[in-house]
Amino acid sequence: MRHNTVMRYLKKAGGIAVIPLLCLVAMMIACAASGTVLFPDMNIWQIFFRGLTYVLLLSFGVSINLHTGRFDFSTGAVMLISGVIGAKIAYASGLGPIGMLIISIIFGAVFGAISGGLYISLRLPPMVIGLGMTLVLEGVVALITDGLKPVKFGTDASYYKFVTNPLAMSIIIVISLAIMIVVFHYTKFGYDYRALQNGQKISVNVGVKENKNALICYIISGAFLGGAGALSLCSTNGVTPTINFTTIGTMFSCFLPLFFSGFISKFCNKQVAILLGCVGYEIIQIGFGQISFVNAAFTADVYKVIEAVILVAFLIYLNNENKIIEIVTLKKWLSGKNADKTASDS
Amino acid sequence: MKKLISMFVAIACLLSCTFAMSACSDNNANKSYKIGVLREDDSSGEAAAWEEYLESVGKSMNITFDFTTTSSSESEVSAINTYASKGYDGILLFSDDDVIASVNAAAGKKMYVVLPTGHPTDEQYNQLKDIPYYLGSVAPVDDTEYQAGYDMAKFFVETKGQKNFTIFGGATCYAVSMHVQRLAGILAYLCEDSGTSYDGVKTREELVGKVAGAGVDPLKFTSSVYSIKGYMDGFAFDDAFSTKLTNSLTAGGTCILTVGAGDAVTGIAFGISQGAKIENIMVGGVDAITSAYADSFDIGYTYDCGKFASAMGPGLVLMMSALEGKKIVDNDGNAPKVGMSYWVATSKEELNDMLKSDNKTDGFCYNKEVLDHFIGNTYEEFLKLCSADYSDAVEIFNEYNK
Amino acid sequence: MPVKTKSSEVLASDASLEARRKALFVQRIVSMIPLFACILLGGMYIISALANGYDLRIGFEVIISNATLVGLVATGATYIFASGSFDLSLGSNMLLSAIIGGAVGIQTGSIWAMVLACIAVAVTLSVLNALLASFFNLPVFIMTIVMMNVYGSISTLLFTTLGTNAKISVPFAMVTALNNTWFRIALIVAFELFCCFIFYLLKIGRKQKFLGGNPFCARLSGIKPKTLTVISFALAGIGIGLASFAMIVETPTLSASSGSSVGMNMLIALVFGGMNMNGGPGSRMYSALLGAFSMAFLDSFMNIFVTGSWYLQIVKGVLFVVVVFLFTIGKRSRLLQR
Repeated sequence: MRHNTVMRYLKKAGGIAVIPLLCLVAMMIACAASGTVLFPDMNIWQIFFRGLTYVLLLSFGVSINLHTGRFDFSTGAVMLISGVIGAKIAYASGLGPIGMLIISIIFGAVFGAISGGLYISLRLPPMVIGLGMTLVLEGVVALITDGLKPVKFGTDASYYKFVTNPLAMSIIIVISLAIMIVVFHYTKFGYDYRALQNGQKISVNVGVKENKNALICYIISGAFLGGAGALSLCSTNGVTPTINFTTIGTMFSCFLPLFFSGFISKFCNKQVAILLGCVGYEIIQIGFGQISFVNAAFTADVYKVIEAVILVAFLIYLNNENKIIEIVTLKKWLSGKNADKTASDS
Repeated sequence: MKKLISMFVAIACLLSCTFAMSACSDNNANKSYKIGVLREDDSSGEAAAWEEYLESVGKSMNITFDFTTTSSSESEVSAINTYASKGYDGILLFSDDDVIASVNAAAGKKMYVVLPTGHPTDEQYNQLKDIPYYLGSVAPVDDTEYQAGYDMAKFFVETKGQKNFTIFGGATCYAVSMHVQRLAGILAYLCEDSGTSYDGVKTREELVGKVAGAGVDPLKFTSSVYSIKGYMDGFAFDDAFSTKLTNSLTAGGTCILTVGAGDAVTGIAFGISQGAKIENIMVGGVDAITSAYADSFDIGYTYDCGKFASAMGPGLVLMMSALEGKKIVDNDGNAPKVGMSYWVATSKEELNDMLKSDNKTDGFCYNKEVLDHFIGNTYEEFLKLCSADYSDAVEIFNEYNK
Repeated sequence: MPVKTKSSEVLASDASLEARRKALFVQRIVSMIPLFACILLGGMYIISALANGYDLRIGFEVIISNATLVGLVATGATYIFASGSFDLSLGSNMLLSAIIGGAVGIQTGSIWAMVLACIAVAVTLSVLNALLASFFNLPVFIMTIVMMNVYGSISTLLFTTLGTNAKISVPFAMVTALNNTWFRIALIVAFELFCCFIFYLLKIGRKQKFLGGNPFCARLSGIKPKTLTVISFALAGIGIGLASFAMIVETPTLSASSGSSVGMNMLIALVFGGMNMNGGPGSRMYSALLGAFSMAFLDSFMNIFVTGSWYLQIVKGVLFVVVVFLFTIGKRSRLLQR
């Protein structure tokens, strides 16, 4: 009995850690083979924490709607416009990076509320609302930046220093994770959310207020995206906005961590799984950077293709797990053999 | 039935377009000068400076400029045809997704075309030079680009005493000629040292062959004097880029030579240097003479080489000469393909002086008076305007603004 | 004399008949909105262009040219959407097909080889998407987004290896004879008729709508969803291949930005044209063409009054949502759409 419990915990711990560990080991080997190391000094850890926090906020923001079957194209546009507004207000009024983060989160929530409001009042598919909002928000970004002029922080390095401060980033990670766990797992809203996720019609029939739930989802998602937008802008010490649907691509970077989390969540809380998925993803990013530093042929386009191949391979595994396990462990063949043996014995 | 009706109406839409096309006659009777400007980039400081220049000069010369931002070759041709339908007289083609298709589209609608920011390749030029509506191109040529890279490396070695470099190759990984030539210029200067070579080669042609589409591998750079601590290119300023730049800066490559996007690289490098407490980073770049770069001087930018607002002047001279019936052609009677000089600033003060002599508020260097002299003038006189560096440009301004 | 009065049952059935008639009328009107929108936008463009003294002949050339690329891709994509599937990688598929088709054209000097290569590559890539989605049970939406990135990156790598200055140039002279509006009209009309023939007159079209409308029943009635999905993607590939060829004909120099906006504009065109994004029996083959023309008219109309692409973008966004909202009058369910 005790043995079983220990085995269960070991299996759980293994399941939780396997992806980040696999990414770490694979990248360490790849870096060593290329003649470099994954984390040579503290500066790379700073970039790791910065990237992890950004992709975590983005993943949380996207996951809220994606996991209920709502695909929101305006993710990148909400990030861009919130980041730009936050940067402009904070830099002009000397509020600093924390002020910028708060402003961006507020504006993200506001734009999320607009998307959500349109979604529930017009009752159109989220994809249509997302496309419309992308067009409008990108246009508004162009207007508020006076025709897509760069948004910068001049000689003020505090914005960049903020995002490369592992402590500050860790605090953001902890707060975000706590919010996601509490809101989606320990509140009535969270229960309703999961009920709607698993059975929309039944949930509505038993009295779950879908409209209210969807609106809150959009607001929380927008807030996280606003935060991600602020971090993204600080990471590059400013931004030159681009439009014409270019913002849509922003959300693609969270797909790999989200699918990693699909596997990890079998062993732990979904939000923790997303965090661990992001850890694995960010290790890959740092590894790609290190390899391309010593190998000029390993360009951004090459590692984009590799990343996509990893994603497709992982998707194939996730969606065909049982079949793959059967093939790998020769389960069918062995069971067939055993059956033959039993038959011959009898 | 409804399906059939709708299907026929959809096709009828097409046919009505066809009939309308056949039925309508040309309405191109407007005699005032209207020029369409097509550009891919509408957000850079350079693009803003050119827009201000054209609008300001246009006001004084009674020319209306209309700007369209294109994102692909199809949108380029579409915008040209839209201008044609509006009765425009000419096109300044900044975007170059498909020069041949664009020039042919404009020529087909009897609109003049000038390329004021880039050149067609020799092969493309041979296809264009006989088209009467193609007026030529005025922009830095490959030699100018190469020299710009060479001079920048020379400045940092000889004036600033730098030996350890980080290089940003911009679009070199996509084999874009302009950036390849600038990068070859940088390497060629460093390879002038007898003990220095890149992958066993030293000359311009060989260096171009090595780096085009491949970039620079720092391990292949051998030198007893200099070192390249890190190389990066492409425009994805992501975590991988930050990782590479951080590695290079911490390894001592604190002198960053950029062949484009110097302001973005300076911003990130400044952040990294502040976070990692790396002192004395300096960045040089070939890009543009704009106020955005003046701000960058405060955070480590040290050398700025590039086009300036009045760089649109020579292109406008070609256009206006043709519109006024005095087309400028080269000595062979073809559309000119003329090089243009860059301006170079090595301090914020110097850059501010240049900006002061060439801006919307204080006036542009190549203003109406200057342009009036060159419009319809000889090809030799036109060459003087194109080859002017900053001091020559100031002289030209003074000569025609007495 | 007994007075003849209708019984309450008869009255009720009359009332319900009347209500049904009314609902049917509203439904009919609503389903005609895409058509009215296209005609209205076209009319607004023509009136504004004439009032401003613009050359309508050139204006219509622009409209046909703009509508052709989007129309070809979107018309083909109708098969995918009608059967309840989805593909976001059509734009990048088009670019990759054009690159390989262009390279074949340059090598062989044959325009036929070029068009065949364009179609072959487009169909292959499209079928690859279908195979990945169908046989590995991958979520189509995510998978096609991933493939969009893969095709885009491969295209960029091909430009560096096959092209000069990050461009691949098909000789202008090779395609110049076809670079006219009549060719574009012929191409899109022929493809539209081909698609309508398959969609409305062959079994396969009905099967696709059935599969999109009710996949469960479709499976029970003997339809093979995987095979049908592969066929739908293959048919869409033909449209993409033709669009890539049309793109080469119009602008023979290909770069990474070629056709960059087609992928998303195709989606907008389908929705503008009244296509139900969930597929099913409400799907109409001509929606794509209507939507493509509506968008082209709108762009040209806006170009008369507005300078600066961002204003156009805002107006397009607002109009997009409003028009789709109008299409769905009477069709909205109690549950939120996903």
